[in-house]
Amino acid sequence: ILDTYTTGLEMFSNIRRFFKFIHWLYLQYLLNTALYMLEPWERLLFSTLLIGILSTAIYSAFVFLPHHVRSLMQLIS
Amino acid sequence: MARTSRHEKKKTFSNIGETTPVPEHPSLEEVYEETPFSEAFWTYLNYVMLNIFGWFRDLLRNARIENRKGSAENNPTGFVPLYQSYESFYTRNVYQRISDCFNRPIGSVPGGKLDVLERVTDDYNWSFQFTGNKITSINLGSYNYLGFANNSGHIAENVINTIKTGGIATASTTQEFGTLMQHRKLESLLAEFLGTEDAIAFGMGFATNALNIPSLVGKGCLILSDELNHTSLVLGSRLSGATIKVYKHNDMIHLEKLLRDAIVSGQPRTHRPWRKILMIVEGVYSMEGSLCKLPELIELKKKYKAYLYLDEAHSIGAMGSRGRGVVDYWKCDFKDVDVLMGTFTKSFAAAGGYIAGNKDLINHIRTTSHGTAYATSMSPPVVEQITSVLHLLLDDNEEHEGHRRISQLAWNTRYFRQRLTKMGFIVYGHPHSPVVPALLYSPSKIAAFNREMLKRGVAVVTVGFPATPLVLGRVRFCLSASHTKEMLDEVLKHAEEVGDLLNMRKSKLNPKRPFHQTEF
Repeated sequence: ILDTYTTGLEMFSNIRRFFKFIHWLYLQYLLNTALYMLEPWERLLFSTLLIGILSTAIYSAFVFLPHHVRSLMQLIS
Repeated sequence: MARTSRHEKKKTFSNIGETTPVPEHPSLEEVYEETPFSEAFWTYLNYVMLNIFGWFRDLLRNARIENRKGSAENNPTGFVPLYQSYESFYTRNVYQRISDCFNRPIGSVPGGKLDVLERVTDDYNWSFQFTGNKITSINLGSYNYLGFANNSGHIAENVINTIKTGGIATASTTQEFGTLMQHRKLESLLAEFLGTEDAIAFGMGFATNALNIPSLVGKGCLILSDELNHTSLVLGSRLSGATIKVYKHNDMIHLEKLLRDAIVSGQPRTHRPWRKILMIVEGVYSMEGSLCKLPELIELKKKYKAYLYLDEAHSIGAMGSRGRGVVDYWKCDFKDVDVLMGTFTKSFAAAGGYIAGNKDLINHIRTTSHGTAYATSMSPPVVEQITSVLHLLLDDNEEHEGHRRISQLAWNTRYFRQRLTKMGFIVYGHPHSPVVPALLYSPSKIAAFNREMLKRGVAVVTVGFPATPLVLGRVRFCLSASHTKEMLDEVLKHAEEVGDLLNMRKSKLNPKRPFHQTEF
């Protein structure tokens, strides 16, 4: 039990490492989609479009997928 | 600086004595690792995104919603539009966005360390203002292979004295009043250095290629040139009017096939035998870091009775155990190469080019070349710089400065390349060439690498399309004899950090290892 307990000081560095990892992920997103070279308003435009499309897709999946799967099962059986 | 690291070298790495590996022909392989699929995918996605946003911004600019900076015209009716080609689209929308990484003004002599002038931009790289600060950084971008680019020392003293006695300009072309005693002395020293009968020097390296190939070949001759030859060679070949065939880079089988087909079928329409066949190769190719395969080329040359033109712009002074170029590195005979060409810009820290060969060849060039008839000859202080460097390099004594610099460069090259490949970067080229390209693939990573390294105090040159193929953007490290082991270690540590930040250390042949585990 003593090995798995992190002290208060270690928690700070773990949080810092986590935020650094998130920042690194954000940098990879910027580099791989060429947003690193674009101006801030272009980044906002593209990110808004991307989040809009992704969130619409996920919401539609949540709402409509159970009904679709149920009707497919009825068709098969 | 260089002296301390040579002592260190003697202490810890005792078996690194050779500057060329073995007296026989070295059989080191050049490895070109293939592009990882993820990198190719993200690079193409980059270009698609840049194209889409480029069209969008051009739409805003044409509709005058946005201010048009840069070259623009009003498109009057009846006139052909000026800026509609893809090249200007690319310049406006891709190059301009990262143009703070290119064309940086410098504020000191480009030796081992360099002062880069700091600039800020208000409108996203369309215009710059200088803050007045200078960023001192380690210089890995200058062609300073033997470290002679200094503004102090006894060579600089010689040059200053020559300005006082000989003046600054010759004010004439070579064929009129422009040949001084210094030029004749330089040419005979060059001939002694290279082991040929005679040599001739010109004021500009690019012009040496472009203006002398027309006096060697003409209509009815055949030129076989490598895929990755420099623009000066391509321009000279086109200017001469000969038939040009291009073979794949360093592919001797393709070259032999082309030679055989050409000799059998003759000139294009008349099928007469060719008047001359000239093979044009470079010693070290500056974008790939690869060497030409000289022994096989000489064998082909003798078998098919063709001539060989060797452009040693990057390799003279930098390769070989005595610094005499690729011919010295491969231990071939200097008399086998017909035309030896080189420049003084890279290892000699001067300006200009030379051609060396038989006395008949040089006499012919002296009378018929465009360069001798129309171009001004080299100015006296530049000649003095080259002569002093040549005196140092001709001196075969191991303790003296010339040989010390050559061994330092060879050691630096092998040390840096080994550690960089072991750290997981994808590096192209021959293991002994002082030009080290590490691949970065996409334009945004090129810009990111450049800016992050400058923040950490290292000035590098990163190149993308159109100097390289579309997917293969790279960073090109140019090593120098004025770099000590400590400077190279610092550069490698920063490269490791930045490589992790950009996720570029993904070589499959050399899986990545941390810096402290990559010792010799």
